[in-house]
Amino acid sequence: MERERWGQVEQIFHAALQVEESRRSELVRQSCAGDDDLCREVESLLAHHSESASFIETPAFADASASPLRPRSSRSLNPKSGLADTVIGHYRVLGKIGGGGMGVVYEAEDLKLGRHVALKFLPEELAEDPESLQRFGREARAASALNHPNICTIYEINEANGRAFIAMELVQGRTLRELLASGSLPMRKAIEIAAQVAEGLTKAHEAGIAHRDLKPENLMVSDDGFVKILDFGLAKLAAPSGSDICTTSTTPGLIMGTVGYMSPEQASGDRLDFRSDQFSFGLVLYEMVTGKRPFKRSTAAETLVAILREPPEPITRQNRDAPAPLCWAIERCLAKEPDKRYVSTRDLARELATIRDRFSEKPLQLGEARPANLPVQRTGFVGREKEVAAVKELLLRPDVRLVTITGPGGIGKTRLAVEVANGLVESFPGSTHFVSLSSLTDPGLIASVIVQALGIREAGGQSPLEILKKNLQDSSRAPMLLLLDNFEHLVQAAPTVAELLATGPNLKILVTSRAALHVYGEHEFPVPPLALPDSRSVLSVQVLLQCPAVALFLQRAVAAKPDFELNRENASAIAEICARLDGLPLAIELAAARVKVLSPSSMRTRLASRLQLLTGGARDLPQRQQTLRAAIDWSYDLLDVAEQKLFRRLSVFVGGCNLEGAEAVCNTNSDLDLDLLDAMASMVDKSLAQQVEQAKGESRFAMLETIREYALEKLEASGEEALTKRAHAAYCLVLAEEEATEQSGAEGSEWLQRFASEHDNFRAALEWLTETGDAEWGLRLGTALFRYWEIREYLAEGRDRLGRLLKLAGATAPTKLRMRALFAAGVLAGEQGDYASAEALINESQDIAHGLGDKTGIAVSLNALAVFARDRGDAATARVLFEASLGLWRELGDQKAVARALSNLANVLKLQGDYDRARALYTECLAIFRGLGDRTGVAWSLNYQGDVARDQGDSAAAQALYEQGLVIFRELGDRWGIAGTLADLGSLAREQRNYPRVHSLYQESIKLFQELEHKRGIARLLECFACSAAAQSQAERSLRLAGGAAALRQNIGAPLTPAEQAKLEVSLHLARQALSNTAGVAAWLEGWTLPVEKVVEEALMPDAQPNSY
Amino acid sequence: MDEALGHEITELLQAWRQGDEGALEKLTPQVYRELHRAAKRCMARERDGHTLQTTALINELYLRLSDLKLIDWQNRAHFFALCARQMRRILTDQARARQSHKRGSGAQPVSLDLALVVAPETSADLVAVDEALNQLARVDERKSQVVEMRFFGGLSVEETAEVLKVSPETVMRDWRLAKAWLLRELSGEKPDGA
Repeated sequence: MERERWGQVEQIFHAALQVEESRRSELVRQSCAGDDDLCREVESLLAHHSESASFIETPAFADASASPLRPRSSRSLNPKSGLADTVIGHYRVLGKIGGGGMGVVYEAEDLKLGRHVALKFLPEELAEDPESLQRFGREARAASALNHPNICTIYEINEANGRAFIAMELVQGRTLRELLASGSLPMRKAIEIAAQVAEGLTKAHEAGIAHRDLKPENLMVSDDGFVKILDFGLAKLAAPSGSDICTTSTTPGLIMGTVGYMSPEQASGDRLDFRSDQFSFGLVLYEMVTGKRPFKRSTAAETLVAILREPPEPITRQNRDAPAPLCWAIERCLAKEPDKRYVSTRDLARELATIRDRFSEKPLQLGEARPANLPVQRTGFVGREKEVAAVKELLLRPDVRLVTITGPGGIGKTRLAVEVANGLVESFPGSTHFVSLSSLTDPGLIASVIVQALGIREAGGQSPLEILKKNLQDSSRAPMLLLLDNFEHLVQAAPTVAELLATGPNLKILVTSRAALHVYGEHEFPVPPLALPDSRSVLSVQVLLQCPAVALFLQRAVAAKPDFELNRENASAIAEICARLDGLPLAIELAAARVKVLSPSSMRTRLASRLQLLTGGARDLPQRQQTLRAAIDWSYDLLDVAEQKLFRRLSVFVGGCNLEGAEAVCNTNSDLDLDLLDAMASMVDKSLAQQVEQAKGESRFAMLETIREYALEKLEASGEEALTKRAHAAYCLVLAEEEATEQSGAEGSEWLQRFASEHDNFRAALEWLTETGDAEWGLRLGTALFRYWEIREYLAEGRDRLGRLLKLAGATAPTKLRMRALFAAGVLAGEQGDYASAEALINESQDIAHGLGDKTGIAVSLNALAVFARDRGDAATARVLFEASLGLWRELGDQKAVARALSNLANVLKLQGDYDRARALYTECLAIFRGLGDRTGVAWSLNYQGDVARDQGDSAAAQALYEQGLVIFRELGDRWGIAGTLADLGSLAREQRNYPRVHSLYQESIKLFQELEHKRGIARLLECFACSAAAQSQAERSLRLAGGAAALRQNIGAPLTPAEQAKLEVSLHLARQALSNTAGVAAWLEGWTLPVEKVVEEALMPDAQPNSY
Repeated sequence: MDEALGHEITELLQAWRQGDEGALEKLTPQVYRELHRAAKRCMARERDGHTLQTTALINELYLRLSDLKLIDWQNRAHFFALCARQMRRILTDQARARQSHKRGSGAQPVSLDLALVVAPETSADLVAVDEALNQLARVDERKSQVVEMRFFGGLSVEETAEVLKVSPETVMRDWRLAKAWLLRELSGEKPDGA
């Protein structure tokens, strides 16, 4: 063909490919302008183009078992060519199944035996050569004959109608390849699959049969959880369609699959034995745990080189949740030298089985770290024994996962639920968590609130729901109970509850709600009213006392008036009051609280008229709700006018208030005209409020939700709602801003407590400010709460609230306020690991700072960006940004900030190994702190200098610096500083092999961390102890401690950084070498399953007598 | 491959990259010799019966190549391109040999594995591709080179682009058209009058 003409063909061909298929012919016709030959040429090329997708995409050498010419060789087996319904031998083909990575497999009916089988076709040439067909089949049949539940059974290998085929067990399920399509598997599932595959492999290997082509495509996970290894002994039988090559990327030339799962000896063509399978199995395990293939490269050749030469990237760098023994097993499987793998596959299987068993039996240490947080009840529990027993029984049934206790307000749902949960603490070793939802208004935040209640850390840019699900999925969770209290206003969040239950069988949820959630699997338990005395008969005092409603009345009456008793005179009045109040516990309580001023008989009269009056009015309310309302009405009417005003206004507090708050919000204009303390006491007396003692003797007052709602209604009716809510918001704002400025330096102290107890009020105020569009106050309050949110890790909630505020119409102007709020949101995003959003927010904040000429604003933004860069591992960028921030602080002359910036910068320089400059900066920083008289700053600077000296190997200088810092920390009584420095000194002594000193230093340090309840500190010290034990050849002890530390870290969601993990592994290596692999795994897992207190106990045992429990 | 030889190859590669066609002539026999050594070693192992024959062959070569510590990927790409031509010859020669064996005695002259690895049909296909590729070279030399490098040499698009001094987009376009063209050639369907 002439060059010019070929050029035309080429041009039109490519132009046609640019348009949709339907429009191609038209385009070609137009472009060829009547030249029919040209047109036909291009059309024919285009037609072949559409068939050429996989043609020669696989390099000729890469996997020669695959035919390079798929369109041609697969023609005879083209699934479209209508194999369905053909009869081959005694099989009727029913349809194509599997496909994808499995090669073309058909479901067929065995006409002789009437069972369904899977049929796989072999290259046609085999059919012509019975001898070799037989030979190929021998090994496959041998493996199949093992008859192991984890090996797919092969029924026959035969030939019919000129086609060779394999008939095998039909497994309903999905291949591991399909399961891996969305990334790594949950840890429990991965371990379960691994253990089963290892069982199957063991059986085959012991019979002298290797698989040779183990890969996710060959592992079938059945719907009921069984794992089957497919194609045993068939590695040499080429699949007819060449589908062993799995092109997982659109990048041409990128081939994986068979090549990707080869062992080094396979890749270099050496002799193979069962240990080659171990390597391939290791690759499969690696992929299950990390979602990645360790040796995957862009070309087959490079992949092969990587298999032969390169070490796999450490697993923990990609999945920090992988238990160390599993990582060790995988690493061992992936040893390049077969001799360094497992001597027998049975050892491997045994190890994996141990990991599986231990992993699932591990008690939830979360429960120990945070005991069941059920609210303590003030008074005895009366008359609900039957209901408690019934709900308990319901919850303990294996098929029941969700129980909703329903009933009207005041019926005693919460009380019943708490009682049930208290009685079931033993049955839920994974702990019981009480989550109050009454102050939550946004159903979208429910997951966040639960995350908080469980004490899980938010991180990694995942949504709270994802974090929660991931956590609950974890098989290490022992059965746990979640009590969601007051769900009724959050019905939209009901699907979230269902989603949580779907994560795993170890979670049960108990809900209290006025209405059922109506999600699948819910068991509703409507709370009946308290049993009433039989009104038709005259009852003795003794009999009446047995009646739950009367007993409750009496109990509360005695609390109000200690000499009150049930006698013949008042018995019938009390019985009637209880009956008139429908046996509603809250109503009975409200009535009984009045015995001080009203005798039961006058109470009966007044109640009766009140109840009649109201029953006539509000017909739409259910009977009991009317009764309760009437009871509260009655109680409210008994208050004097000033008390009523106070009662109404108190309703704006969510989660209670202290006296100061009540004064500030309810008496803003000094119009209450009463003594607040007395009035509050009176509310408590009348059961309209409850008094809760707090630390330091401060009293706090709170209303039951039912009563608060009533009060709020009254407030709305009085026309004072807006005014009072604004007063409440103002109070919250003042409180938050005051505390926020006073917080400096004090970590984990009073202001955090204070914020915690007022958090619900802050939330309510923020909600109101957002609703009413008050951007200024809203942004101020949000910004003031930011440090609290950060420290207590309300990351998602804080971001969400700040985000909504920033969107308010009044918040868009580039003001200082917006700048600060953006900054706060950015820092929270950074803490979540969502660096992209974090940087966008901080950059906007910085832009505003530039516009305003606010250098402080610029400096803090630079600092935040630097921290993100450092945390991402980009030390170079961090350094530049810290330097810029430092420059600004110097310009501004803020000495304290200069010192902090110096310290940050020095830290990065140290990371980069620039010790001289780091030291110089710390020295400068130290001088500034000294000049400022900031002794804490001085002590930390000395400590950091000590780190530099230690990194440089100058132990003497390091020790001197640590000790100087320690002296100051001790003078200041700063236990965090003391504990940290002691640990540093201990590690220094470890380097000098002075083990008695190591032990006593670590011991003092870990005890301090225990006092401080600083879990990360405890984990760190356990790791220190583990390293020390390893260095002293106490291998088992070392690994036990490391296992305990790892479990603790997992529970608190504070994994080691990859660098720290690598360092720890190096130290533990000695211990692992000293033990057999199995013994090492056993020791580590023992530590992993032990309660953390036991692990600390072992750590604290003198070095001389290890292993003695 | 000893170090001196490695150095020599590296230098020759650089010279070739810089346009010295003479370097290519010196280089080719070196590469060919290395390939054949690798092939021989593979043949020796073949009796073990567990060898994925051709994979091992190419792998040997790449391993030696990584021993060369070639300075950058561009050099590597050129070396692979050179290998591609040799690989094409070796693979198609093997395939031809097998075809004639089959036509001859009807017995299995090669080991079981080898027969499977490069199954007869595949051999025929390889030979056919080789022949069609010769045809393509007459129409469009560069497109046949693209196929040679990618299919026989396993080069990535980027590597091919580097060697041919064109953009990766051009390689992709060439690749698409060449595939359609070859497939049509192999199917024996030719448009009338073309």
